[in-house]
Amino acid sequence: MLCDICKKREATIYVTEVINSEKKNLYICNICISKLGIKGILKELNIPYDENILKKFLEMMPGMVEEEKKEKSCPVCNLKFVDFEKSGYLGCPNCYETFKDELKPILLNLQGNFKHIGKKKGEKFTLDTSLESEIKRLKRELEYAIEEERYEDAAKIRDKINKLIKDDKINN
Amino acid sequence: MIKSIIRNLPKWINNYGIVSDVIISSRIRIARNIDNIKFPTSASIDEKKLIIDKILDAFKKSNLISEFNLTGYNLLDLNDLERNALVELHMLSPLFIKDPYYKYFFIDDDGEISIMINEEDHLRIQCLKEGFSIKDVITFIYKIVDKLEDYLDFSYRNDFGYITTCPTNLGTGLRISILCHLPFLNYSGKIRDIISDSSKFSISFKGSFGEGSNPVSSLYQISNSTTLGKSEEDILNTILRFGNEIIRIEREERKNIMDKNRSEILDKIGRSVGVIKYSNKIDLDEANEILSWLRVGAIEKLLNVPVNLINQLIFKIRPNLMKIEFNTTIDEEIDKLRSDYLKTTLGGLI
Ligand SMILES: [Zn+2]
Ligand SMILES: [Zn+2]
Repeated sequence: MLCDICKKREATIYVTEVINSEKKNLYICNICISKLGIKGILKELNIPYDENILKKFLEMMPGMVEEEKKEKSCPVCNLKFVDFEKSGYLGCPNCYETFKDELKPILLNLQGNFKHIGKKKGEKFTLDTSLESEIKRLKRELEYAIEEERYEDAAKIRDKINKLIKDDKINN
Repeated sequence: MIKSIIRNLPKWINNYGIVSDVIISSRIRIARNIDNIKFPTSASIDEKKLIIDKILDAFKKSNLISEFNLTGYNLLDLNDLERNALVELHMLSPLFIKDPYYKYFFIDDDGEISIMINEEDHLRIQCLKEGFSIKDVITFIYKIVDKLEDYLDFSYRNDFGYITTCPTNLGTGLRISILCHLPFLNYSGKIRDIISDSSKFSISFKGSFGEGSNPVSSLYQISNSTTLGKSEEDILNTILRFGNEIIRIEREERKNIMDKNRSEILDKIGRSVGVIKYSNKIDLDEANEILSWLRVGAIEKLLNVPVNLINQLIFKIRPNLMKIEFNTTIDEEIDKLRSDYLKTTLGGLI
């Protein structure tokens, strides 16, 4: 998820705030945070400053987890959050429930995301090789090529897509 | 079986795959854990035994052993040389063999599949094939993983996906990597820009021996750096796209340099031939550099050496595989034996 301020870098901090009774997710990268500070960020986003939101931000900043949180431990395996910070390993599956709030900013930093969108448990993996999905895949490649200003590649991909569509029409 | 794979090398090294001039091999690894049991990194001895029992039971019930010609081993049944040789062949991980107790693994007859129990995660399933074959490998490996899911209660959450010991593997648990030989991008130095650019596509680039930016061997391991928030197919497409791009630019650079700097390259290859013919000792770094240039000579048909043979040698010259080949445990002898081995194997061809 891209940073709401610079819209360029991956966000490393995620804060949920209710503004005018509407829930809003804020995504900020650590470079913008260090440049503008929390007050500056809020000003930029037209969000009124108060103690509450400041606290939320501080909770989300990696390395700024409060002392009592570091001592928090998983009831199943007894691993403390501070142990995870040292080793990089969690202790058991339940740790992800115990530390889910503390892990979110870390996941955002490591993975650029904290929501699984892949295959669900129980689903079988299939590589969709149908024409429709092949075209979908090529269209995504085309988008990437244009984004990265590789216009020669983009032209080739566009030709490929057109050919697939044309062949399909002939076959039907 | 395992001894013969170590001696004769796995199939993916012996076979020359599609676009293997640039991409030597493809590897996919999937991490899974059983729900409600501590991860191996913090499990007790009894819990580790329980993990092995549960997984072996699933393998028996699922018929996977006969379907994929798997053989199971307790890591303690192998000696230290064999364990390290399997790491040199990318079939076991360094972490897996560090502490050999309560570790179990399966390997298939071809040496393409390896399944580690009690590595960092309860289960690490990996498959290796020659060339740029990640589409085939991914379909193949999920046949195993999805079948196991029918017999094991894998830890999974709707928000974070498949649960892993380290959050760097969370979500899909999927790592796709390709082993590339990029001597020309390495020679011109363009590799540095590509590496510094790669992170923005969620790609990680590693000198194959882990020692930084310009490995003497020009071997690089390219893989996805993120596993969460993307579908398996997205991750596959990222590596497909990046792999194709790498093939294109390495070939382009090869053509450029062979046109403009031909004599420089001929000199590098000639010197490498000279070292093999007339030296008495060759250490691992030097051997890697020499083999990299011989591979260039083989691909450009300047030498009458099969590229395959060079691929085999790239692995064969590694210390533990050398020790097994020559039945020795003396470190001081290895450089001499390596020199002899290269002379004998390549003699008559160069
Ligand atoms: Zn930003
Ligand atoms: Zn736990």
